Amino acid sequence: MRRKLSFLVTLWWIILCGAAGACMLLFANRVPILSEQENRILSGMPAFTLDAMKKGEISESFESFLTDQFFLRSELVDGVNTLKHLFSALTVEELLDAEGEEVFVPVNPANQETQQQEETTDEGTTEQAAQQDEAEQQDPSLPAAASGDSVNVWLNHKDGTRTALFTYEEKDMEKAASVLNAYAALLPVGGKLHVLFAPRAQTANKLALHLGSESGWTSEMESSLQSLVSSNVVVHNAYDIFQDDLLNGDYLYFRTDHHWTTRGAYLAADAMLRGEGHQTVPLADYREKTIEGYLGSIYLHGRNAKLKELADTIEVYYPLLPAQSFRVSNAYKKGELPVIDETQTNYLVFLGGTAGPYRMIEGGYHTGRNMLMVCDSFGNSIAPFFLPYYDDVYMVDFRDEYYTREDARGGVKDYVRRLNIDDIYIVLSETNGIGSLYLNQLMPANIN
Amino acid sequence: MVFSSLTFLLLFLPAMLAVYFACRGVRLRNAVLLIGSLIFYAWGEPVFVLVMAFVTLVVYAGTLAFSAAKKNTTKRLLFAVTLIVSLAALAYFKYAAFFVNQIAGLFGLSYVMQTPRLPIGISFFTFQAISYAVDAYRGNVRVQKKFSHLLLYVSCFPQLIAGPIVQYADIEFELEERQTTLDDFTGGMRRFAIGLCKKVLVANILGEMLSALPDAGASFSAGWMTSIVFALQIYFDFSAYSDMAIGLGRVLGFRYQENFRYPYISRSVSEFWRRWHISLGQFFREYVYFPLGGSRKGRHRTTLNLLLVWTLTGLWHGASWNFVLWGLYYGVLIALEHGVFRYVVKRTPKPIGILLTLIAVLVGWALFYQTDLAACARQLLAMLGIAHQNGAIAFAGWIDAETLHVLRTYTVFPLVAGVLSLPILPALDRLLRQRIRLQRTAQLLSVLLLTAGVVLSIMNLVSDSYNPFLYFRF
Repeated sequence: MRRKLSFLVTLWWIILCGAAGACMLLFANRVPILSEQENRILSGMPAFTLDAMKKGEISESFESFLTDQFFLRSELVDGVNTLKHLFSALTVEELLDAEGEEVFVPVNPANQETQQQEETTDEGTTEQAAQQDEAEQQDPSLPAAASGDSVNVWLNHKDGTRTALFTYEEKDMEKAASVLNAYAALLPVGGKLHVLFAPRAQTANKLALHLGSESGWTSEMESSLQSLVSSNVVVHNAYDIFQDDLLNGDYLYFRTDHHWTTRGAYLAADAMLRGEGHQTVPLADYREKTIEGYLGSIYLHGRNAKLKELADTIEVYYPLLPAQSFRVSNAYKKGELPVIDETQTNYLVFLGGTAGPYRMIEGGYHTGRNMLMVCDSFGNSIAPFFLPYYDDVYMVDFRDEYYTREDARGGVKDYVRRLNIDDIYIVLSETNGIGSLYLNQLMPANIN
Repeated sequence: MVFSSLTFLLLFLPAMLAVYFACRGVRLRNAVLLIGSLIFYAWGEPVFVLVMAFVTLVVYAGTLAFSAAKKNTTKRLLFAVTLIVSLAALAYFKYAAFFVNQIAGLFGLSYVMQTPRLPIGISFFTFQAISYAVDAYRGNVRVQKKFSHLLLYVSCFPQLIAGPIVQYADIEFELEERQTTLDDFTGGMRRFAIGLCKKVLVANILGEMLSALPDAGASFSAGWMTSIVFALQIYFDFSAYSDMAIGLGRVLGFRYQENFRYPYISRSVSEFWRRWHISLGQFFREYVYFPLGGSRKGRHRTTLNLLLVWTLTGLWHGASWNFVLWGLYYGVLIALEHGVFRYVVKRTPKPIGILLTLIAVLVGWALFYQTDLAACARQLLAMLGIAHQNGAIAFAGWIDAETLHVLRTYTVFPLVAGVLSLPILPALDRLLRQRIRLQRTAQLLSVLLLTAGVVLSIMNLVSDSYNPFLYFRF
């Protein structure tokens, strides 16, 4: 009897395995789909071609199909990760630090350059390299290098000591200055180029979540950069802008996501607009909604259940006047895009995420001025705060996922002229800042 | 295809078992098993099926030829040709690049031979084929007239990828006549489930831990932790495959020998190798060590034989100097145990013997794990507490921040794995089964636990595919 029961149980789980396999073949989604949580295409059913079979590729792609499209996959991943982390003795703060370090670790700029050069060589395309050279040549007034070999961003401890958060080499600063000057040179007389390199949450939270031991931060980078750029370039120091509010415990950065909150974005916009001489609209004047329980990129990296304790709140501020957003290609409006995407409960709520090659937001104001923001995803939450001060706010994100030259059909120089851009704002996270692929390669390559 | 994949668990295995047991008679089942095994192998590397078929064909034709030879010299010649040709594929795919590049380096030539893609399981199926040829030559087994039977012996999917190395004599009769009882089916699947859980729920997580550890030379703890975690990972990984092979073999009516017997409770290095990868040790003993004269030709020759056998054992694991060193290391230790330390080993108290053997094995794993000899030296020095920096020697430090972080992340997991590597669970199982009243509970509990284990393993396999590509997200 016992033997029979054991046999039946064993037989039953083999049958269940077989049934699950049959269901996967019959009912699972067979088409590759984009996973928003993982930001990658989940594998679909591979094509069983003779060539693929000969190369042995079928086995890998079929296994990927089974694992990627498995029923209740997201729940299973959560369940397994909860079990895996059951034994962990790490505190939530330590986990946050550890996971944060794993997400968006800036790649060594030297490697990036090498990689980019290899890609260029492989493709046999010298267009980007030529454009870059041209961008460098367009900068005759490059001032002397900043004093010293490098500059630092310091985290100041309450015991009087300090730790370097970032160190920027002189050659990277000079390179950044040359790129910024090349952009500034595109502007009409009186136009200004505003630059703000925003810390990521991983950096900001080293101060914000450790107020017991940290007293503030100091960045030498902005003043050093300011000394290298043309007179119509204003470099804003995000560290100074945020310091007091962070020390007051204000919620400027998410904990489980690498972005700033809308409060952080507002503070940055406010500082830049004041620099431009505007009287800014108080945050309290904006209509607001909140999204609770947001778990962002830092959580999604390891899906550690403990981090759910730190779930964030997204505060969404609506534009003061009805606004419209459009995708822009060849300097013409194309399809309409959301300004606030009501269907999203994550960072994609802002503008519905990044769209390229260019996009524009019409805020309903008539100021006679237009602006262009060169940004990464940090720009999505800050852009609506510029609406009251410009007729049209244009945005571009040069990352390969969103921007192709074929789609844009022209460089920034062309767009500045055709769209009557008056000011340019460069709003990038530290990952895409000094020494990055974005600043060193993508920005100069797309000027002309 | 590997056992720890959804393709195998959800599709191949249920389908294979359904078709196999739907067939009546060994001939039909053999045909199903052969076709299934070829599909199993071809799924990952279709072209390499030809390599396996070639090796089998060489051995098949060779044995038929030398068994038909009248003269002893002809027989010997044909046997030698069979061995050489059947080893040719292994030599080309696994060793040619290594030796050619070493020789080129020696003569200062700039030529570099690229390592060809290695057919999965080539070391295992080649050794199985050779063991059959040798046994047939010695007259220990009957010469197999049916090519399909020999191909089934070589390619039988449970042991094809990662062993154990099954000797032909062990399954000679089962190829013709075998049956699966209810107990065989349940016991076999139970063993398979144990192996699956060991691989997916223990070895894979230990693998994650190992990759999270810093450079093994970072501190004293980093050096030892790397060896300890690797020792546990490789044990759970390899023995898991053996468990799954033995279990599936039993389900299909084959009885494979045990390949691991809790090696980390060995009292000596010699005993360790009687408990670790038993089928490989047996192969080298029977087909290399004994033919060389074993221990019958004096102390010096014995030592030489041991060193030669262990160098080959090291090379079998991979074409790299660290494996050669690893093999030689065991050769020297075993030669010492058989020679100078013979009486010391016998008289050492059990706990001390186990501890010393463990230390020796952990040092050995450092040689095995670090394919780069400089990294290997760094780890070995760190295990002694020494750091070598810019020509100066300093204390490596007890523990570094990264190792501490990894230890705090995985906490008791390596400890649990360590306990599971000891024969505690079988002892508990025996104890429960001895008590009549608890028998039923124990049996049901084990079946339920293993069912849960299989479910968790599948969940973990799905979860492992979670691969966020967050950099470009927004």
